[in-house]
Amino acid sequence: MSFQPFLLRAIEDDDRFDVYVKHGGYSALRKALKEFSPESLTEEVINSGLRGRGGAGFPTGRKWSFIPKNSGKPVYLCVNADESEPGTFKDRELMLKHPHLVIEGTIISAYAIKCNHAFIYIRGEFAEEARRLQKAIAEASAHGFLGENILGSGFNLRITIYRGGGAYICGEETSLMTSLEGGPGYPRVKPPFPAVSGLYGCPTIINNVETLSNLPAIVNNGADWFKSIGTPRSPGSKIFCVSGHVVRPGNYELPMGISLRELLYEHAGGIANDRNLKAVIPGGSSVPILTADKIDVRMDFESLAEAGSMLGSAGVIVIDDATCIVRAAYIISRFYQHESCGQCTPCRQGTLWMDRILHRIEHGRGRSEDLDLLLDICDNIEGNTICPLGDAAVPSVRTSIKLFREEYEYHIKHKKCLVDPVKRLS
Amino acid sequence: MADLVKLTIDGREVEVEPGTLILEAARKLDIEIPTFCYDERLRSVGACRMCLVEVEKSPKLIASCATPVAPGMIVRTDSKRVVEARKAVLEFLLINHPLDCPTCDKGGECPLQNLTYKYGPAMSRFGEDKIRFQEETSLKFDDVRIGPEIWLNRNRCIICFKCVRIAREVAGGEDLGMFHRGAYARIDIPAGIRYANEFSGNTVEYCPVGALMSDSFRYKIRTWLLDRTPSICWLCSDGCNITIESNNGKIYRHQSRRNDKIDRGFLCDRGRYGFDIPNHPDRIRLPAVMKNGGMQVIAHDEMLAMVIHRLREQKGEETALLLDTSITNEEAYCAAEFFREKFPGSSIAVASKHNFPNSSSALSLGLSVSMDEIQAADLVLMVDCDIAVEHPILGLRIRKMISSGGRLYSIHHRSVSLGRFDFAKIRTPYGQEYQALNQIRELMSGKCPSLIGDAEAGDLTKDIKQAKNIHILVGAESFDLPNSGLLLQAIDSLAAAIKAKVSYLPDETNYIGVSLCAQPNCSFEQLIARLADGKIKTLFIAGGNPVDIFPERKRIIAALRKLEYTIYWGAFGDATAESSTLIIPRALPPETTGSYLNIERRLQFLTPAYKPPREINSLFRLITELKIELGGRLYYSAAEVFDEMKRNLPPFGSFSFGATDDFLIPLSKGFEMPASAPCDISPPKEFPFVLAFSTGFYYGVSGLTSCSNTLNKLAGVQRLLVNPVDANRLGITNGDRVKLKTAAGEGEFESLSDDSVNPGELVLWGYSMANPPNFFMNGWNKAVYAAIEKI
Repeated sequence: MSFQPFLLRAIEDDDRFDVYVKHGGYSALRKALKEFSPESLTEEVINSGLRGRGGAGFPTGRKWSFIPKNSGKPVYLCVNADESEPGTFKDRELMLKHPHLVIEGTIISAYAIKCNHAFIYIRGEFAEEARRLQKAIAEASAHGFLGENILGSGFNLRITIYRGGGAYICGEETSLMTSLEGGPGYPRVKPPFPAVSGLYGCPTIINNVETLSNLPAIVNNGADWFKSIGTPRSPGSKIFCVSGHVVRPGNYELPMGISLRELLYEHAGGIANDRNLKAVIPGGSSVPILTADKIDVRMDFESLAEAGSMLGSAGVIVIDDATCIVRAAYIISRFYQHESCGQCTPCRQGTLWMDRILHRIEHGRGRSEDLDLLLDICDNIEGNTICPLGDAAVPSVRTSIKLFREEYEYHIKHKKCLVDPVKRLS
Repeated sequence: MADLVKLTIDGREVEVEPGTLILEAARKLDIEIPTFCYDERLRSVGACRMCLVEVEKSPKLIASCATPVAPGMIVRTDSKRVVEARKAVLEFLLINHPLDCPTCDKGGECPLQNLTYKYGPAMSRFGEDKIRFQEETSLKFDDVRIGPEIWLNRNRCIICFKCVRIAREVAGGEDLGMFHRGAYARIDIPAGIRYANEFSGNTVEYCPVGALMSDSFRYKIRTWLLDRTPSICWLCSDGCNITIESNNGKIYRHQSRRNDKIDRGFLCDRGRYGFDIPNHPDRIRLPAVMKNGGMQVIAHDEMLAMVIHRLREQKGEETALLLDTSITNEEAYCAAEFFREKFPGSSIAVASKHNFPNSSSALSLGLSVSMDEIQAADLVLMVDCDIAVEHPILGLRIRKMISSGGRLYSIHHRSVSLGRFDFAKIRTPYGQEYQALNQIRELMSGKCPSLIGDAEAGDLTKDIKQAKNIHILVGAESFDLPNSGLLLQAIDSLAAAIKAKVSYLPDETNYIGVSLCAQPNCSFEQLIARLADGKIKTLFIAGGNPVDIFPERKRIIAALRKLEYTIYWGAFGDATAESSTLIIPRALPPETTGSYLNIERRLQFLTPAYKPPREINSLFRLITELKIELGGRLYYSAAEVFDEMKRNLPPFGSFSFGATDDFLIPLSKGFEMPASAPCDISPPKEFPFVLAFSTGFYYGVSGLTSCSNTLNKLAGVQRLLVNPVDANRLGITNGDRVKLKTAAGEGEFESLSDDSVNPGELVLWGYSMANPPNFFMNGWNKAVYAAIEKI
């Protein structure tokens, strides 16, 4: 039996309330409120093995269970819709085409963690997405799925959409909260973890849009059904955002553990322009690069970690053999330099320094000592920062040098690009 | 108390309170963990990453300044990984830091320099151009002025957020912040704001690099050329500990000398920037006689001969001594002793701006508890106290109290502020504060108040019921207002009803010490009356500028004119000098040895920063020279005076001169309320406003602050504050020049429409020598009525 997507469902006009309901929408919420207590619902999600889809892959149910019991403080849910990882565009499609799925998932999650006020922190550029979510909230409220005493269960929930200013850093959970509180998007030192002291100092759960969108299906079909999809340790499906030099770039919802080859050649139509595959960044720009020989790797958390990379946000960036890896690394490093919040030293200064050096190499002014220096800077940033942004800036630079050192050396030595030797660098 | 947490740092075990940060636990073991952004008085940010340590079982290095200890934690601060990480952080910090140490103010006392020498790489591998923040290319050194006193060089900034946190958490302003992102992140002020608050200088002192600078110190001297003298601030009665930094007889700045019982290492800008008073160009440095309205310089020996000659022929009852409140205990003691013994029957008075009850013991004034206890209070009622002006550093404790959940109510005829710290303000008409206090007392028995809003009354009732320790702080103005007798009685009854502790707070530097040690035999007002009677022929004015202090300028000038001979031991050619016969240059407190009693009645010692020239006399030396000629008990040092004081004044007990231990004289009961009948405050038709006064923060309590160039610059112009309703009615807009008329005369001021003032009332804010506020006053406890008109 072939896999049927349950997130990016092939339903026309699924953003319309009537269409969504016609196809079983909000039945999971009914079921959750009727058949589950918050505790048993959390238990069910733990059993399903659902892992966070934002990048870190932390088990969702376990995260919920970290909320202290009887703290006397309100619990908040933040929906992380600040999707900004380069190469990632899955949440955007979910919010645009299936906003009710996102809202239903949010309500179910809020019920499980006993939250009465959820915030959707959405990236500022996502104007239409925010509008559709807002409409979905209005419709859900009008039909009693939101507000006071939802479906007679006694559970209350209000959802507030907050549009961010478009800073990459605000996708990091602690800076998301700082930004939501009205401050500059600066990450906070952990501990305390958000589940203990998050938004306004209250217990807070931050879940990714795709993570929450999985909940209705889990509630409807059960944890065992969910576990039957994907791999034992990475169950369920995953939306892979395939971009770059493929024939059919786009979002592909497929079971976890599908091979990269199948994803690229069977679903995305193979490499465009009859080129050859050079490298793949399998999880958004923050993860290590894989060379073409890793094409048979399975796309799940464990297999990719084994292959030396990460599933991350599953933003699969495909690089063909006409691409200069130095230039690619430079462009990625420029992004992190631009997006570093500036709060802590290694990230603030390190990303700038790497960007400056790569800029020089790319423009034909590299020096022989630059490569070892870059690797050293990578070591000095990694692990020494407040939040993972510094760590995210490192892998592309480090792996591009380790895997394609000859290209860098050619740049430095000949002031020319190995891929396109005719072009002079300046 | 929860169980202690046991952990191991560098192989040594330590037990600390739960919640202690790793860095603090290491300090307990004397293990230094370098840091730039950590300050235990501020919220941790973990930004600089200099304090990374290795914790067993943690894959990453951990910021020890932001991570609390856990039981059984095994920490290494000296592992290879940690050493490398520190080196890396310093290399990162230095890549965009300019190599301008040779011109930078911080050079020599710079944490970045010091830690780089200790932990940093010897060479930088950064071969790119440094980021240069250059606002205006015409500026030297890329410095920008962000306020009247504070300059900022963004190139040097290492983004430790200390200044932002000091501005926010200590001073309570939102005026400094981080702008932009990444390596281009910079400290800045919002458009249209000038960075100036009562505590702005602390940002300069605690900046770990030379990014923030004081205008008064910037590029003036290298720090290693400065002599550092521990002393006590002399510009209010809080008694902050300071280090006077001077070179060759010139003071360059005041830095804090942290005393956790008082200032916690923070100085207010008045104390910090008042450093330049002794350097003022108009300071009197040579003795002079007043002749034909001008000063004529004479020799030191001639001056002495004149004083001796004059005093030798005086009878006791014909002489008087007026003591300033900024002199030391020893000076007050030996000067008063000299007059009492040599001139029996002479009048001895203390020149205070405020009408403190003379019948009460000086030791019944001051805080009834320690500053720490004020900080830990649940509820504080401030009566006629503009704490930010009168007691800036005690005000910091109050701010801390508010941010940790304590409640503050101000009962005042105008609205006072404490930065962004919010508190309840009960505003009463001028002179009617006592009624509000009586109503608070009656609240407890369920009566409905008329002067207090319903919401506030509800809150206050609840707060009083819940509070375990309540303090009433009585500001100095409480003693001066009309109906102050009733006010003090109302405070007394309220305190008894709600079981509150009362503190009467004199704001003048050493008022308590001078009153205790001099044992005055008349009040300032009585002395002026005696002068006016003409019975006193010779007056010795020991410091201060009493003409400016006495709340009826015409009366004190007229009284001084009646004198045959006025000897003024003073520092400036001020109004008092103009009414004097002989002027003796005065050594100011930074040039003096001796002790002060602060508002807690804590004994603290001043050390002279340098030895002034012979013509500038300390009061102790001057009195000694007079005694040599005229007779009297000789002391060879201030320490000897102190020993004598101990014998005659039991409160000083067994304490020894110059010791640095804690010595607090306990509060003694014996505060007496001067009884009085209610007086009616009703402005006559021709003067429809009630006029009140505030010198503002920068001038504060001492008349000498107007002799600081820096404070004058910071204080701005004198203003007349008008309630917006009145301003509207009279067609006055902000900045308009207005003419102020009272029975005493008239003056011109810039107006400011300000709703901190009640309708029908005016506040003359600030100070200037040209328009001294006491020109308009007509004595203590009397309302001043005024009229204004737009010019």
